[in-house]
Amino acid sequence: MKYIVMECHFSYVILLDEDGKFLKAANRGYQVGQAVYDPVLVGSYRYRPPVTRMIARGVTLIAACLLIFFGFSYYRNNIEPYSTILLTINPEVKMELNRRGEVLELVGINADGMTLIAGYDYEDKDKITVADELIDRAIEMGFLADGGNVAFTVNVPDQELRRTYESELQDQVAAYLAGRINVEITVIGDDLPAVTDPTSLTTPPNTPSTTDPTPTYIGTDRALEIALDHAGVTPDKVEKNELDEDDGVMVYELDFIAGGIEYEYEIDALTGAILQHQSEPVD
Amino acid sequence: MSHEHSIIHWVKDAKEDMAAADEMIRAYMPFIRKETAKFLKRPLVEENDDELSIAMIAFYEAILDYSIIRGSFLHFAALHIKSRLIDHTRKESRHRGIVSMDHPAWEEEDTPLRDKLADPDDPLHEGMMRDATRMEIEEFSASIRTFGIQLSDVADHCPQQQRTLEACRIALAYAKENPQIMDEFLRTKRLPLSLIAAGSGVERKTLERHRKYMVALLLAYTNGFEIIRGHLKCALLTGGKDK
Repeated sequence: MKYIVMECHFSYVILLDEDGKFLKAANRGYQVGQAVYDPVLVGSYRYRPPVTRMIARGVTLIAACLLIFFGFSYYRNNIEPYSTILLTINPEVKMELNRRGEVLELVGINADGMTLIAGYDYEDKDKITVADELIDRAIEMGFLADGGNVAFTVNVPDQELRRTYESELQDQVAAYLAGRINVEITVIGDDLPAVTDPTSLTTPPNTPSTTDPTPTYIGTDRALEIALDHAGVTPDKVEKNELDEDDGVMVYELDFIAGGIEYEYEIDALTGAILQHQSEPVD
Repeated sequence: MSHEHSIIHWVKDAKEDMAAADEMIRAYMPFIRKETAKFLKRPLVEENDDELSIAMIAFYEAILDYSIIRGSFLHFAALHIKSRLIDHTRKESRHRGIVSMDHPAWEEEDTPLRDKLADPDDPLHEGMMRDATRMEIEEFSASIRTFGIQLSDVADHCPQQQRTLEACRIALAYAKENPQIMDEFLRTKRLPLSLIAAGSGVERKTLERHRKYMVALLLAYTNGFEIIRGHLKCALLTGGKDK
């Protein structure tokens, strides 16, 4: 194609091609009226992704969507902890399960529990298998003897699934142990996270009971009395006097006003000791 | 920060106005030269390195293509210049091993190779031809300016697709054959678009979009611009056949 130079500017020229098109091009030292055969046209270089890349991009996008979708459902079914089973013999072991009922993690709740699971490989095993094998280990290690108790505390969000788990544990573990050892199996459904006191469920014969007595608190009246004694005032107004948990310690929190001064007290609910106190004028 | 802002405004202006673009390119010549030298991995020897022209037009394209979401303008422009130069180098690599006419004939000699070769064309004639062409083109530019049109506008509104080009050709051929339309066009200095659209069957929208282009070509065909018309060998073929 032949072009003639119609107009020259500093950075570009205007060319007329044989089809009657006017075009802008790079000024490679041209002069008006000159014939040009190989101009560098403006806009002739546009980055267009090649078709293959477009297809690749589309495929990648679809793959990413699938991965997110299936990845999520895989995560939901296989990786996300869904339910827990607390196995209590005397050693206490918590199993975390995924939705498919496979054991994700074993946690020894007490020292014996840690001993029991030490070196035990639970990966990709079903809850029943793990329960059976753990009981075997407990027998081997002498934690469980004839006439002992085994308790399962099942904590599953779904009620129906919980019942299935319960019956599975009850029947299959019993079937597994049948004829070898005489053990009482208890299965308890638990709606709360498994932070139960194991000894309240079963008392294994080979350990002394170490049950805590139900804690008795001093009561709000006694707490107020202690605080007022300490402050040496008569309150105009008691704004707060309640039992609260502070870093795992049960305390009574008190606020009261006496003679234009606001007092704040924290009193140990069990011992009645003053843990913290401060006062400031009321504005 | 304020520098970055002012450059964005400048780019915005330059997008619409070719003169502003030219101005901006002139101002950013050091930048363009630097980018070119960086690409060539050598300092630019002459003012008119071919690569520099490419880089300049690439800078202009960067102005046209730039939008704020692309980030810093200068980074964008540098990238565009680089890809344009790569493109150019690939194209030119085909001619590697062929000596340029401008290459010195002997080492340490200034005379270009061109001057040492027997010229197949008559250089005198060619020079005269070029002068004549230049004068005709200048006259042509002046005449379209009386219609309020610049050549750069024509380039901006030139049909890109073959189909549009055909449609414009049909419309032009029709206009050329109708003295009534030509009279009105020259008298009012306006293109009677509705008459052309009705007569040629080309959509009015198409004509409106390429109005400046139509004016330029119509003038080229009417006022005796022989050289330009000679150059456009196949344009308006349909109209030419009738004569």
